[in-house]
Amino acid sequence: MKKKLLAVVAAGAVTAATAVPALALENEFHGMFRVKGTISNYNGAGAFAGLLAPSDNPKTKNFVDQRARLMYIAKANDDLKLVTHFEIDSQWGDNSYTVGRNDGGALGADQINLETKNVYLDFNIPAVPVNMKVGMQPFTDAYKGIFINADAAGALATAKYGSFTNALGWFRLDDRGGLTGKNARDLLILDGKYAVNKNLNVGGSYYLYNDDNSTFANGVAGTAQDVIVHTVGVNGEANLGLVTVDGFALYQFGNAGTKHVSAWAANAGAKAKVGIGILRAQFLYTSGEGDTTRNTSNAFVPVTNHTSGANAENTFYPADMRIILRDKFGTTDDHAIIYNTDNQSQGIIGGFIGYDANITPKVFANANAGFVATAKRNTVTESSSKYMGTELNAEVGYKLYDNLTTSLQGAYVILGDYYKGTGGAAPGKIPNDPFLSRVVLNYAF
Amino acid sequence: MKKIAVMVMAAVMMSATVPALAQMTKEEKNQCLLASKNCANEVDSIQKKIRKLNAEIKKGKKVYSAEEIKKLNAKLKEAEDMLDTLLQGGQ
Repeated sequence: MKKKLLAVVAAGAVTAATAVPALALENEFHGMFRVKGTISNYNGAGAFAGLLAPSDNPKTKNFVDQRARLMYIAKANDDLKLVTHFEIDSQWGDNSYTVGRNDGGALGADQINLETKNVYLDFNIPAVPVNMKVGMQPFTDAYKGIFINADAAGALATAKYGSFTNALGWFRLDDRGGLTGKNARDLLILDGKYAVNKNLNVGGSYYLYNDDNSTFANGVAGTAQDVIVHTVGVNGEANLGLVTVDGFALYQFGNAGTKHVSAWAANAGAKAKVGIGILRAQFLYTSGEGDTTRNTSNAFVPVTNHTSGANAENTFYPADMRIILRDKFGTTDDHAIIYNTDNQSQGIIGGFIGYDANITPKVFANANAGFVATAKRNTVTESSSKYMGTELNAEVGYKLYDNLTTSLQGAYVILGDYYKGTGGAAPGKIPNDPFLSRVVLNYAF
Repeated sequence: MKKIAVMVMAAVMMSATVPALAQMTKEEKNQCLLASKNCANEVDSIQKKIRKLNAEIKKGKKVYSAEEIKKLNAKLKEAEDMLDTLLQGGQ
């Protein structure tokens, strides 16, 4: 009887064990690895990152940098996942055996250099069409990144109701003031999008930027003052058959310390299939301030970083520029003539055109041209010109495998009169034109 | 009785070890892409995932309901955004 009982208990235990639903955790791994070998007269080691001020006789240098990004996603089910994203950067020969990001490429390696980009929970709320992202996450505004395109800690709720998509978010950008939890820098996001039909999308938004007791009211460290900037905008995209057009308009108002803010930005873009590729065009305007002594500032206010000299947390990647605007291939060498979209409070007038061609399934090429000028001047130099320069760049690439490409890139900037007599150039002369040429190896999986 | 108990145990254990994938056929919906179920241990690269999603979406309403196609499209956008995030520049 005892043996029978034991057998029945064992059978019951096994049955129960198999009946318990397995915790089906899907492990998703993705990542990328990029190596760039560069010859350039304006760039160099990591210390060159940030704003590029052209200088005369800058010397041609060569360097190699590498970046790995690793993403691990722990997916409990279709409605719940934890997203983690890490980065390891270095320039060959920079440092070893020490502690610090963007280093570890020197002899011996063994650098403590793992950067955590993102750690956030992504889940859908049951029974309602709301997705939540909570934690340190990537966020790009609805304006091609010119206000913010960054990793930021916060909570973002996105709801979809038929053709409507609404997003409500709150991000804590900094909490490093005298009184933590009060002297903080926060960003409130309210975005709406409506698909009128399959060819037309329109959107609107309100962003509240509040920097309590900020020491960066004037863009640089100074006396603590409150900054509150309201940003309202509209955007749209229309497929007109042969051509797809998009664009936006933004207006900002509020106060930055004792100054009243009244600024704006606008964009128009178009792309069309032409021949074997796609022809693209973009125009960008951000307002600037010419008189820094008056009580009103027309300088556009993007989100910037207050802890790093390489402080841009905004981009305009659709221009596809390598030197005059931030480069989409930028790593530790992220370095540009216009590093922030406020262009040192002077604003931007920029026009860009490009063509992406798929020559064969394996071979691709693209070419771009773009010019930039300031909307206003607020610096006194030899020339009062607003014209900063024109960039020409091109790339030819080959897909070695489905997820491994190699390419050759080149870029050259013809500097404008804005730079006359600056950067050590003789009176009436413009510093040397910046250029780069590089070979890029890019693996993504 | 003992024999019966042992047979029951053996049957239950065997049923637990048979891989679920073996029950799937080509014609069935890809539950791994659709609902993150029955995925094999092999991990898709992001490009492969995008390609597979595109292939499933192309099957259209013959295989998937309108709601499921919407879901696959959302997953495609999510995968494309993820690739953009991986490749995006910056310090």
